[in-house]
Amino acid sequence: MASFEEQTIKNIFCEVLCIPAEEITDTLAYNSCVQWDSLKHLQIVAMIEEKFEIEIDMDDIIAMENYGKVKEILHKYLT
Amino acid sequence: MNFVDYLFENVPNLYKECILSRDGTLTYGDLIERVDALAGDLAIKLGQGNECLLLAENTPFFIIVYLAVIKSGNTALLVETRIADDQLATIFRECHIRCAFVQKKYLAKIPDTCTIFTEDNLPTPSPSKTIDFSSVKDDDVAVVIFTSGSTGTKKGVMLTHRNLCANTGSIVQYLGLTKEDRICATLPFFYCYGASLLHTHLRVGGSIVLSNNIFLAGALRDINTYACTGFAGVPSTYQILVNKTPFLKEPLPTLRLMQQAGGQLPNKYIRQIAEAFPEKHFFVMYGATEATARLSYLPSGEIHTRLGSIGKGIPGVTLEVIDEKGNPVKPGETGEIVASGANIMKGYYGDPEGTQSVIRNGKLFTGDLATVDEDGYIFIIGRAKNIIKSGGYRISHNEIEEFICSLDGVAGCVVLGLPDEIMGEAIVAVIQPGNTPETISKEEIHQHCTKHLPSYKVPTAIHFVKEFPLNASDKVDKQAITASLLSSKQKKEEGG
Repeated sequence: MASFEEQTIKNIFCEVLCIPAEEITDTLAYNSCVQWDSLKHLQIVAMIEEKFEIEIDMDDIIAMENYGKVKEILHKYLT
Repeated sequence: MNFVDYLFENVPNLYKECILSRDGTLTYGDLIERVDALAGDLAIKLGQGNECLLLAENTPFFIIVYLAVIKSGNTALLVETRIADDQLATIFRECHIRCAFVQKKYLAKIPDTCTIFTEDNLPTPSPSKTIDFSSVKDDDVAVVIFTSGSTGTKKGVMLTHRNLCANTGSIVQYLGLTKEDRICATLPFFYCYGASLLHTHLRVGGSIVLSNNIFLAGALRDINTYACTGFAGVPSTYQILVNKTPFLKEPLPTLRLMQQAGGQLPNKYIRQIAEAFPEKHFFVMYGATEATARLSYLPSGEIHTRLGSIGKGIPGVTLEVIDEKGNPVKPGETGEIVASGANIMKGYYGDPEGTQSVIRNGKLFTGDLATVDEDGYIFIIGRAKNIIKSGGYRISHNEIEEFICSLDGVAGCVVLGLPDEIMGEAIVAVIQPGNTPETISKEEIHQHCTKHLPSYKVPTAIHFVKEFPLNASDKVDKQAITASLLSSKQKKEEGG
């Protein structure tokens, strides 16, 4: 994944979750991050789909449970 | 009767699976043992009649603490996990909270002025002592639920042991729940509708699957994995499932019934779901936190013939639509929905005036406007305070929303009245298109409205959004939408 793509994903997380970029690490997880709820997840997915003009499979949307996983999953759509 | 004793009256056997989740299973034996131990501990350390705050997602921790607090004769104060810090501070200021039970991830929200327990340091069960909880009275407050409310200030709805027993029994009766039922629970238990799922399934000796997924599609998986017989959602639950998942094409062979409440699901979706699952029961229901949870239901067999109706009162509840003089309305006339029954709340916490404004002569005035058909089935028109007053007309947002939602290419619609210098209020439609890229334009929607609605009901502005903001109960947050529209309008005016 190109670094500008990764930066775009990080920016989306910052914007939707309202947390600073330095808190967005691979271990940032849905289960432990108070701001990251199911609605915010839908918003994140919608913004990523719009920005990269992709459509993410349902199983992948469910599997994106931490930031590391999000990057790993998006890698296959963006390459 | 103590509500928790009532819930555990029909336990089939102690080895039966009760609470299931990805993290493991609790049998009835496990649950009762842990609830009794904690209740005993609370009774010894706190006594009775104290307030215990509970802030947690749907977890075994929530369920054990919730039931133990109620069983011990104390009161569980339920707050949403997304509660704003200043609102939580107000609750701590105005209530007499003796201790707080908080899921670890939300610990930072809680002031350190009271004793705090998390899932890691629950009081250790004392060796089995027999505690007598018989002094708990039917009219003691078991739970206070802080509702999201439409005015911004949170109201604490006080529910008694009697309220909870009555509503639980009614719901079990009309849904025909048995010990074979297993609910896939996605709605939070701190919300009255979510709590009703927990209550009713414990009461019949059924089981509850904690379906905490990052995306609702995970619930479809859980229904299959755990062989669930029931599912429950608010309108947005079903709208997301229909629009974003293969829900309508899933066979879901174990599923027997679906419940829908918490607002009006556009008829288009009700029809789609009923047609996709003709052999399953789809219950459209109506309720209020002030009525413990449930007030009415539409029998699933009436779903096509009374499309859009919320049905009639549930067993034990008298539901009427009355005019300003207090007389029942005739078919086609509009009035306010008024309810009476053993499920009507004791009152609002610390707010006798607020209580008197909604409970008069033992009846709950819901503030919802409705009409009835020839057979007495009720159709909601809108909230009394949400009626749009534009150009001298009183306009229900429901009718316009229903029309716009019926158009192809529209997934959801919220209609609001925004302050307008000429019209009083201007009708604004905020629309979630059904497809990306959009297959219907704002101009086309406007043309459809002009053609099919009286001119005073045609929105003066149409906005598209990708997702609607939702409140803690997963209902569309109209306040947030209004605030965002007003602030962008203000910015525009300042800029231009």
